[in-house]
Amino acid sequence: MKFRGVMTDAIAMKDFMNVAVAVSKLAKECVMRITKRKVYFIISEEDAGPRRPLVWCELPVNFYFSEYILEGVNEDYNEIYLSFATGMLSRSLSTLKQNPKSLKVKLTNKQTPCLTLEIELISGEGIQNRQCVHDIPVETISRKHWKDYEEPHFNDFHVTLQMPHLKPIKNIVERMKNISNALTVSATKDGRLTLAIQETTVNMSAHFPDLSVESFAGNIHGFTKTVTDEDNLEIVSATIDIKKFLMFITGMHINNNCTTICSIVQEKMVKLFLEQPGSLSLQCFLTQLII
Amino acid sequence: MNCTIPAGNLKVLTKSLQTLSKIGDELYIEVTKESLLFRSINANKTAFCSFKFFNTFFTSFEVADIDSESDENPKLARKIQMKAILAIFKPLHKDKNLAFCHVELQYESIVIIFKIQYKFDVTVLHKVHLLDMEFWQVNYPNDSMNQVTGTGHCFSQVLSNFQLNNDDLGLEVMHHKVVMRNYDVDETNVLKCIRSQYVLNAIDFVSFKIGQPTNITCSLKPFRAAVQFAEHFNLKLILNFETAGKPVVLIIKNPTFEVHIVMATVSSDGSTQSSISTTVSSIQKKVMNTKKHSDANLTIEDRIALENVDWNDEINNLDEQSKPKLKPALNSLFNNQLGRGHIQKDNDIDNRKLNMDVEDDDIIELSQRSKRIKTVFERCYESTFREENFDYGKILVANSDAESD
Repeated sequence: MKFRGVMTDAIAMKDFMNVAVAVSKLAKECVMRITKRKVYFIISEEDAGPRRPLVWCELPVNFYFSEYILEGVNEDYNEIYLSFATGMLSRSLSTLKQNPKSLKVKLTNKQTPCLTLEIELISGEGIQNRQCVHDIPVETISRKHWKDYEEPHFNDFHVTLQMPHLKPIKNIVERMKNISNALTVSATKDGRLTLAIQETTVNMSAHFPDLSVESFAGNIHGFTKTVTDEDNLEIVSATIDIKKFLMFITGMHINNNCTTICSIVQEKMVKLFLEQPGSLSLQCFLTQLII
Repeated sequence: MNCTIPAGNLKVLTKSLQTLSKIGDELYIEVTKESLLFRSINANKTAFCSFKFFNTFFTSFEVADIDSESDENPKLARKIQMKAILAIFKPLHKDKNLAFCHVELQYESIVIIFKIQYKFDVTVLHKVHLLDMEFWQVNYPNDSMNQVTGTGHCFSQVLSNFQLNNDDLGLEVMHHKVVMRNYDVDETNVLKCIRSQYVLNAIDFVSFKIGQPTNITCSLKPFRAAVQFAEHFNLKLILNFETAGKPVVLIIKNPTFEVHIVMATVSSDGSTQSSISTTVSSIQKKVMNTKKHSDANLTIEDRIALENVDWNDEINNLDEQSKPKLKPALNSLFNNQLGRGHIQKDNDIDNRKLNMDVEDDDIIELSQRSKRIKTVFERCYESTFREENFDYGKILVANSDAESD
């Protein structure tokens, strides 16, 4: 197994650091999947049972790395799966805040497998650069467990629409979190996104009208009902854990150029998809809260 | 003693108290003819900090009867609780209405009085009770063969790369550069934490005088406290040190005050091995290679150091007999590197790469195996484990021979 990647572009290094910081806010542990074309950060649900991905983050290799060597387990399975604490990566990469020249990421064996980050820093006065090396202990994941980290494919969403700016949503949801722990996300055919909480003493909802709808399949469950429930046909909703939703919103201060897309399966799940074209895509799968 | 501190200098005083509080819980106040000294020492007496405020620091500085030192009162030195004095000065940090602070300490008094004068004739009076005082003396050299001066900002940038929960900082000082590490390169029990290494060139410092290259390990906490203070007031930090086991003295100088921080260092003996050896097996291989001519390369200092080493405290998981042989070998390996400067170092990096290529395939296997060994035989890897204290009972079969390469 061999992995070695070099970053020299300042923007790429900054984005890589931001992604690491965002990932560290979403979970304590993550799995890094290294393939020929992409590097993935995968965060699984913490509860027991079959592992389901909570967050799936893809970074294209050609945007970040100027030099990239990968030798996986063998030619058929030319991939590496590593598991480590997200905090260690984000804290190590914080060195990049000081005028970096290059970042070398590689897999090394220093008593334990380590992800070694070699950061070359431009020093203020000198001609010679400073060098900073961080070793993060990692665990390699053997091939029989790879299937736990397969890419999730969901296509049959009942509604997909573009989200408004995340900042106002964050402010609202932060306050909603103090009242309730379940958030109902619903969307209509004409592009109205509603975030609502329901408690015995208070019902609260925030409406974001006139968003662009990318696809709308309608509420399938609604068809079985009587014609008088016509409005139900137009609304798709799912109830999710408010903490996880907020975690995604607060963690995602990556860049302002990002677009966020929200997809809902009626009473099953909400998928949030964040994309910065060419450099990053991040999906977050929030499943229906079982009450 | 009566003195008045102007509002501008109160910031310095507050910051210095914060620095002192990071080292000890008690503040020793000593008055001399020309200066006021604030000192603290930590609980296990490994770090000592002294702030010396000259009389120019104050708008008025009156010391009565200091000439008539009697046997009963050799000097005016008192001790107070750090918490008490911090509580007084911390809130002043951002107060804009301060005029000055008056400090009063008398021989016969049981309290020290801080009178804080605000604008518009508001006065706040604090009385802090003095504690019983035992006298101690800290002797440390003011000048040593290795002296490194750098700006507070520079050191602060370096320290920001180390984690807050790190306790120790290892400094490997060479003629042209410094390597800082937060781990012991010889440590075989790898903890689940980030291991960082930072290489600084001589040119990054204001002055860099190395008489004898060395490798020292000191505590990070007082160092960080000193660096924060120096950075806040944009001052230079002078590092004085000699060899492992001798104290490191940090000096921050200003026309009106002077700071000395003394830190103990770990007397590292064999732990000077560089990070070239990525696995235990490769260490052993290198030892095999260097063993033959190891004695020839030992300097007198090394011999003295070796005699003073308690081998039982060293590497636990290597078998008893190989220890004395291994250690001199490691030491000599290090000497080789020093002699050849940083060119050798570059070669080492190449070596590491080579090692990588060869051993990469074994990563999973090796890590899982060593992990399993450590979980099953956990007790054997603890530092308190002594084979001789262990009762095996009846031995049914003698130990098998060790695997040979």
